[in-house]
Amino acid sequence: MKLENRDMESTVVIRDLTIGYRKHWRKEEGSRSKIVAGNINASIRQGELTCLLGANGVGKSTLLKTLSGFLEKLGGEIMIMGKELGSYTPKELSTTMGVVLTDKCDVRNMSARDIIGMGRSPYTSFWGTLSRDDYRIVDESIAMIGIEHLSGRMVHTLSDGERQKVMIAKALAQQTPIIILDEPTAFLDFPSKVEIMQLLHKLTREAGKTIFLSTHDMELALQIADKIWIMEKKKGCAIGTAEELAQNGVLKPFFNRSGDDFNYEKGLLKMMELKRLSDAADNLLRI
Amino acid sequence: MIKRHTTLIMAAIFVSIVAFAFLNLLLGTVRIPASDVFNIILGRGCSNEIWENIIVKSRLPQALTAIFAGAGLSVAGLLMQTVFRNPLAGPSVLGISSGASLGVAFVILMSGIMGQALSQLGFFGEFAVTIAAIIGAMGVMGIIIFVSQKVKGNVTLLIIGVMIGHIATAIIGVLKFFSVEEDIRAYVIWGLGSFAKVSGGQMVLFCTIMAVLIPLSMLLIKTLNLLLLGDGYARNLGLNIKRARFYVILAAGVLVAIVTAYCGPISFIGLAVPHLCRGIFQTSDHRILMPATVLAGASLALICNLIARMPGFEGVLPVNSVTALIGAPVVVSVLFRKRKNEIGE
Repeated sequence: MKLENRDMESTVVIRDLTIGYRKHWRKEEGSRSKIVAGNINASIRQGELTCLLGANGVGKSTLLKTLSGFLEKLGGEIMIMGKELGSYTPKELSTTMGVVLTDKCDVRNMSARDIIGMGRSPYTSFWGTLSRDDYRIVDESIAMIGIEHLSGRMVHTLSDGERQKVMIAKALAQQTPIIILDEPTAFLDFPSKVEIMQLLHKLTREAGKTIFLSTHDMELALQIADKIWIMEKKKGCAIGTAEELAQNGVLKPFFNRSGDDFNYEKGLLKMMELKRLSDAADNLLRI
Repeated sequence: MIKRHTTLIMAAIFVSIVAFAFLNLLLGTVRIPASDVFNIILGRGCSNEIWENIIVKSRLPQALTAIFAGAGLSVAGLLMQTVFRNPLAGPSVLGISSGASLGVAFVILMSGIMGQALSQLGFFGEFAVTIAAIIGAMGVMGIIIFVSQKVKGNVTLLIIGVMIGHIATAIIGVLKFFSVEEDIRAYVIWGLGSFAKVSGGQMVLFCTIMAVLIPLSMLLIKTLNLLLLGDGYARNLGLNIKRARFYVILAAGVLVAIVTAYCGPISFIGLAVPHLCRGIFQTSDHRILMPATVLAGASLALICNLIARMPGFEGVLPVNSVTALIGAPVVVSVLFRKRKNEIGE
């Protein structure tokens, strides 16, 4: 839980953050809020893929919601691009941070390209009509995600993985330096999970995006992510690269439920094997 | 390609409005030749003064009222369906029309209790009914807007609206119990809905208000499109959800309040027309849906009015029954076609 001193490259810096829910109906009893997690100190750096891991109910969603401005923080500070999150206007925030959520947006009769075009709305005029420039950016985003073949399809006919890609393209079209994704790999089959993660990794490298996502796919995250955050109820939030966390033994409990070291080794081995598999898949995709 | 298709259908609907408006002027219990109808509306006058009176004082106001009421209700329905993300939402769902009914019930039924039947009050009575409907509708709308700023979920808000509607209906029931029979009949007739009640100066006022309000609601197009994505995404794209809800409910509420005040509670058009337009234009984009619902709503209201006034039906078929009889099959057929398309895809 040490604070990194490289704030220059850090797009998101969190200090002593407490997250949770305020009881709205009783403002006079302000102290009665439910604290989900406290004392979080961390930073997310530009051009890196950061994955948030942790068991269900540990507060991943709450943290994500707080960081994306949907939920008020209970204490501490969140600096986004050097400015306190609370002092952003909705408009400023919409051009700073793009989100991809888990809830399916059940829009009917709208093409994927239309949805991606909605990502331009912070920039469009009063009526929301897209200019030629906007369309160019939309098409660039589509090309970057590699979903040209989907752009004309109606969103409600897409599979979960395809829809996820469309929403990522929307976030790209939004042209924000930061993209936050809530479990982008949930509900997907394994090849699609790998594909989405590699896509996001590619975006950090080729487009210089800061990407922060929550996931349950530990092995995948350990292989691909630049930084891992592991949230635990009692120990709080542990942060580091996959190797650092493995060496510190933070990962141990996740692979080693029965308490013998053999399983831990096996888990890491399995992880390495998967890494090779995903590299192979990566090569296949490149061809 | 799609764009041209869209414009073409829009143009077709517009032509249908003109055609049905003319039929509304032409058809009725008194037969008037088409050439004379033309002459009268072009201001060239006509030999038969009675005909001129029928057209100018009765059929023309009725057609105009139908056009504006149909358009207004349809837009209100579209606004409601989008903001609540619920295909069953319509102008009547939030209890706003029940509020109008409650206001009217108070005036009509209480006046009897006070010792003076409203039917004896003439023009003043009509005016009082209109004002009461507006006050009732706006009152309920005020409550809904207040609640909408407090609760988070759309479904919660929808349920609260429905509950308010039930409370209003219950109070109306109590009022009915204590009133005179004539007044109850007057109230029931008001509740059947009609485009014919608005006349003369009131018609001009009604049409002017609607002609201002409907374009005003068009200002919400971008907001509505963002709301389609769901609250989370809309917020992330810079939309203030609370303010958006406020404006959308306000716009829909005022439209419903005014129309209900002048025409009585007209059911179904507000629910059916948005579905109809989504089916025809195959889009959820409000830049197309808004003008489309305005045109289709006006056209459908004219058709309903025409059927309600068909020779032989005159005075028998209330507009409200016609809108439901036409509206329900329309919605069902659109839904069926949609299902087939989806399987096709």
